[in-house]
Amino acid sequence: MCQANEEDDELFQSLKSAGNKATISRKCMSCDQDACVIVRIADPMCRKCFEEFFIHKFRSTISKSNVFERGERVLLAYSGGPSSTALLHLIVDGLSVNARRRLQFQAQVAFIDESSLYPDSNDVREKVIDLIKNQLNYPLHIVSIDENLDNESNFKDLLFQKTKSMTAREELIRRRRLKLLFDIAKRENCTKLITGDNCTKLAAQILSDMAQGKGAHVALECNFTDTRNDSVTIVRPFREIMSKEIAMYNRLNSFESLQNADIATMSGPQSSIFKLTETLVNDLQRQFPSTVSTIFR
Amino acid sequence: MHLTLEFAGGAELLFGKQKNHSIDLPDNNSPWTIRTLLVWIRENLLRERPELFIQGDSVRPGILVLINDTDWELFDGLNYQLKANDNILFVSTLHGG
Repeated sequence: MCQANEEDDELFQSLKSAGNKATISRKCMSCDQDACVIVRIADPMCRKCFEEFFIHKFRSTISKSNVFERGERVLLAYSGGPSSTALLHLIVDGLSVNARRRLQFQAQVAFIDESSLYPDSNDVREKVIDLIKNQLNYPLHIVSIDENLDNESNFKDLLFQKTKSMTAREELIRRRRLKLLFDIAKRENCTKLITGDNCTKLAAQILSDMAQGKGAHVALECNFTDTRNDSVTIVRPFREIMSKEIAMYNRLNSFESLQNADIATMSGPQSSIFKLTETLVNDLQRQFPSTVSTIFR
Repeated sequence: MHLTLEFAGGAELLFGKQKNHSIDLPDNNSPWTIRTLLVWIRENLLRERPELFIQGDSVRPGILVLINDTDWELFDGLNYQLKANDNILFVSTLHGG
């Protein structure tokens, strides 16, 4: 079962130690243009081929799964981060009138305003409104993370009073976000919730869940579709797309993420279990590019 | 030698939230490489928490480096010799979303 990955890693190690940099050719593997990025183990691609590769991976993941019905109401979870930014633009393109094999569902966007948790993110909300309503012209639902809490408390107080560790705080925020998103989806009669969870992040999440004794959930948490909720199914189209590919796609198209901080930003790599596993996955991925796919097996 | 440095994906938080930096490296006996640039950045630009950006003599895994919008792995990585007016981008991919 692990054979294929071992061979790939050996190939990568031998390429790296060859010392002769001409071994990794700087021409695109599919056409003869200059390459701009290396994907997978050592596949160089030019800008055009990379974009086609990226978009194709996204579209074919969705169409092969046949998970969306024509006209289905779908909610897109937008956090402002790089993955959901890429996801937003890919979906907008896929829904546009001129799109090849146009996507057939109807989309709305949900954004959770977490500015009460982070002191410096005051204008994120305005930027999100400007992007989604004014520029892209999509229905947008904004909910504050403090919404509907008892006793007029705010979420930040809850976080710091009720939880003792960063690990617990991250988990609480995750669940809170999901709950708020499900509420919006149900209110708007959306039967699907699309999130930008990418491969690298999911791999770290898998390890983190296992470390916390949640091994039973792992298969559901990293699956393309997640049917734990009766009315709303979560769909993860970036399940096979790496964070590096997303960063490259955003850069090539000048898509800026509007929010790059979360509760564990600026805290060290050992501040929570997820931070630890994220560090582990990224460290290993650098030397052994099959890390993430191995974890998924 | 004049260079432009860009920081994105949250990396800018370590550099006073400034995404674009226009810098001039002093002339040296030996040519500047990404490796020596990182040392220079650590000593001259990095405001806080160097361990969140640099690990050993390279960047922390999860930080993508682009030289003139091209993956640094296509050049010599740390050994790439900088040229005047190169644009070096450091994107942190350590925040999902």
